Amino acid sequence: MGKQPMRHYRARRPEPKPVPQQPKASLSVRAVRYLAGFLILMVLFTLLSRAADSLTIPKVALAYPSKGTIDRKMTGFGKVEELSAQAVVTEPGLRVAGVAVKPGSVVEEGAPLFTLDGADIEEKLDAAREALRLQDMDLADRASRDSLTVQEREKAIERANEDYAAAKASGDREVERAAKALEEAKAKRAAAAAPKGELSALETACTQAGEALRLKEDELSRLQNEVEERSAQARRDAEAAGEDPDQWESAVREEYRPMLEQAAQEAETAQQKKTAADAALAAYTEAAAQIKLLDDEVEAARQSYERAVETRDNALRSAGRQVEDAGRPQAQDSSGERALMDRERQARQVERLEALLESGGVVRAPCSGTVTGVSVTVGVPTPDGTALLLAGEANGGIFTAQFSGELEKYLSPGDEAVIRLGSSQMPIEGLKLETVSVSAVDPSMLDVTVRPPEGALAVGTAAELEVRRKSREYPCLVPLSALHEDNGAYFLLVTREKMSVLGTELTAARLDVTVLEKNETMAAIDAGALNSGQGFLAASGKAVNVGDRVRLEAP
Amino acid sequence: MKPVRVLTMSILTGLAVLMCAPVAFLFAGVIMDSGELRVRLGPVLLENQKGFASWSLLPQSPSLSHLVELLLDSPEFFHMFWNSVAVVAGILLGQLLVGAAAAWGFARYRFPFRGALFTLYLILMLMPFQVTMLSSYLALDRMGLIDTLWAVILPGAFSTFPVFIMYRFFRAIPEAIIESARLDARNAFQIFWYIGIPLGSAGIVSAMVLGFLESWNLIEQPMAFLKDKSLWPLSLYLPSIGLGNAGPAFAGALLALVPALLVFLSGRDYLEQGIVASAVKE
Repeated sequence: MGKQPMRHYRARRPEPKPVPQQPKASLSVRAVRYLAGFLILMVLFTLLSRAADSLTIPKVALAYPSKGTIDRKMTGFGKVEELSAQAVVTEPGLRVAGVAVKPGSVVEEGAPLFTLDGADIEEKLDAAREALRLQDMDLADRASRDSLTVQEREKAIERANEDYAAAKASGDREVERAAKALEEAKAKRAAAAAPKGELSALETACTQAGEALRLKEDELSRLQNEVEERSAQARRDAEAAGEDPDQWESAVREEYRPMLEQAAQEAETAQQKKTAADAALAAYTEAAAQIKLLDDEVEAARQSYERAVETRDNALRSAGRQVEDAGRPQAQDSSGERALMDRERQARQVERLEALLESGGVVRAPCSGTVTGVSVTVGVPTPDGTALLLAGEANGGIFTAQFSGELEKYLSPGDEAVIRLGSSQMPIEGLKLETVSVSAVDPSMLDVTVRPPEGALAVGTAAELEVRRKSREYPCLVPLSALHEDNGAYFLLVTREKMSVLGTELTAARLDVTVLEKNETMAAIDAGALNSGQGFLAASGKAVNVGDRVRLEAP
Repeated sequence: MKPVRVLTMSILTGLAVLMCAPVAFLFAGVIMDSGELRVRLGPVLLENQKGFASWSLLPQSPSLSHLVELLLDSPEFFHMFWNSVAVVAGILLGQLLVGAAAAWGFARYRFPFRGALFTLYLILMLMPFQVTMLSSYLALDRMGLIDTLWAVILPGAFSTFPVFIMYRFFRAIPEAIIESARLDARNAFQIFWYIGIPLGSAGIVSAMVLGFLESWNLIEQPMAFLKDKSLWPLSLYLPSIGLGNAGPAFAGALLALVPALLVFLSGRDYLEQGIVASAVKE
């Protein structure tokens, strides 16, 4: 046997085992998974939307109003101008003895300008002193008269008050007396017994009793007549029968005797009843008359009381008017004050004349400068007005600055001012505004003048004028940045709570306010605009409009 | 038979398309930009415009701005979404705890006035909300629950409709199983827990799905019992639609549709079983 050829075997890679496939999830299971995924997505978007929303909501800080003043700092630019000429005045009507200067003369301070006549000054002084004495006497007389007037007035008031008190006392007494009398009359009337029964019933009873009596009497009378007739008849019959007529009459009378007795008894009873009815009626009538009398007395007492009250009121009214008339304020009389002012004016004139006399009648220059006008002439009395014009020195002057016309209401003479010359020089402080007027050059601007200290600034020096003005204290100041304007109306933004789907949210609400005054940084608003403790939106990183949602910054 | 089948399918397809048309409109509205919405819905939503609204399934200028606006710039939408989730979860849990036990009792036990009580359940199930609204409001107000989520959850949790659904399934459990459990010395609760619930799970799930769909779309109860807007559910997200919020309204409706659709898909099989079970005559 031969060798078998070697068979080569190649190892076969084992075939991969089939992977058992997962059964496909049913639609229900997948729907549940998708639902879970959806809810997770909703959670994610919830967070994202809230984050985005919080980014868009501006964070704001609340501020609160404060007390304070509105300080206003106003600046204007200007320069020093030459001071206008100064007028030299003196007493008018004094004769000029000599004039030492002429227009163009340069004088130093204190140099003589002109001389007045000494004798004329003395004469004028004497007249002025005499007039002053007369005025003093007049003032004394007036004071005395005023004092007397005051005393008389006080006396009149006192008398009127006394009369009033007396009228009141007298009136009260009369009223009291009348009231007492009225009370007594009322008491008597109350104590009086009312008549018993009723008038109509008593009259009826009287009438009925009288009628009954009449009937009984008629019956008695009838019986008596009947008895007489029967007796007469019996007598006639007896006589006709030849019997005793007296016996027959007696028998008849005996027969009628019980009836007569009864009739008489009944008549007696009726008589008694009538008598009682009459007595009752009489008693009623008497009691009624008594009551009426008492009523009349009460009425008379009441009328007397009312008259007393009326009399008292009239007396009090009259006395009260007299008190009012006595205490009426008198018309204002300013003649005394005018006399006093005249006296002071006269005294000043005397002082001026005395000063002139003491100086020998020499009028000197009030400051150094140049004579620009002379109105006095030797031998002619001084004019009533400017005697001489004197222009100031070259280094004097007045600082005039221009301000905007809108600041007119904030600038007034007397306001404190500071002149600033630049960073290298010290400012000139302690100045006060002299005049504030509309500029002749530009009506929309104001010319504000201030007099710097003499020698501080040369004419023509340019500088900045700073005026500070403090207002009155306001109880409610807000920053100007918190104030908004809409068609001329100012408002603040405040927070308001609003219920929404996300709960309570804060929104910016408009609160209209009235601006009383403001400057560049602060504004004063009416105190009642904000409630106590209520804040307003002051600062925010983003623009906030009315109705926007806001969040408060953490304090 | 084929032409008949074709005709039948055609009719059914047409009806199905008709039923799905609103959803298609919804999708189109979500991606339609504000300008095109103004043109198409202006005659309806604007006072000074006349004519009829028009629509297109394919927008001329599609945009996702409404979705983005809703998802990223509308925190109130999500707040109301989670309110809806809380309300639905509370109602379903309540129905599960109370309704299942009530249905088991009606299905497996005989007690006096059982029939009358069940009839009362049916009557209450048939009553619309408007009939019981006032009495419910007074009762809830007395309990201090008005303006809380419990005012919506509790009436839903004690609804009679899930009892009716689950009752059918519990009735279908053979008595022999119950008897054998009793022979095994199981008590009533153990029978209910280990036999009733597993065998009746189809009915329970069916009731839960229907309960979800009903609770997710609640409008009248929240409007009547909830005054605080922070408690409102998603169904009240946009109670008034104008041109300014038409786009977000479409997007919100789409997002509100998704959970309902997914829950329906997850419980569709059980729903079908429930429909079959309810059709079976005893």
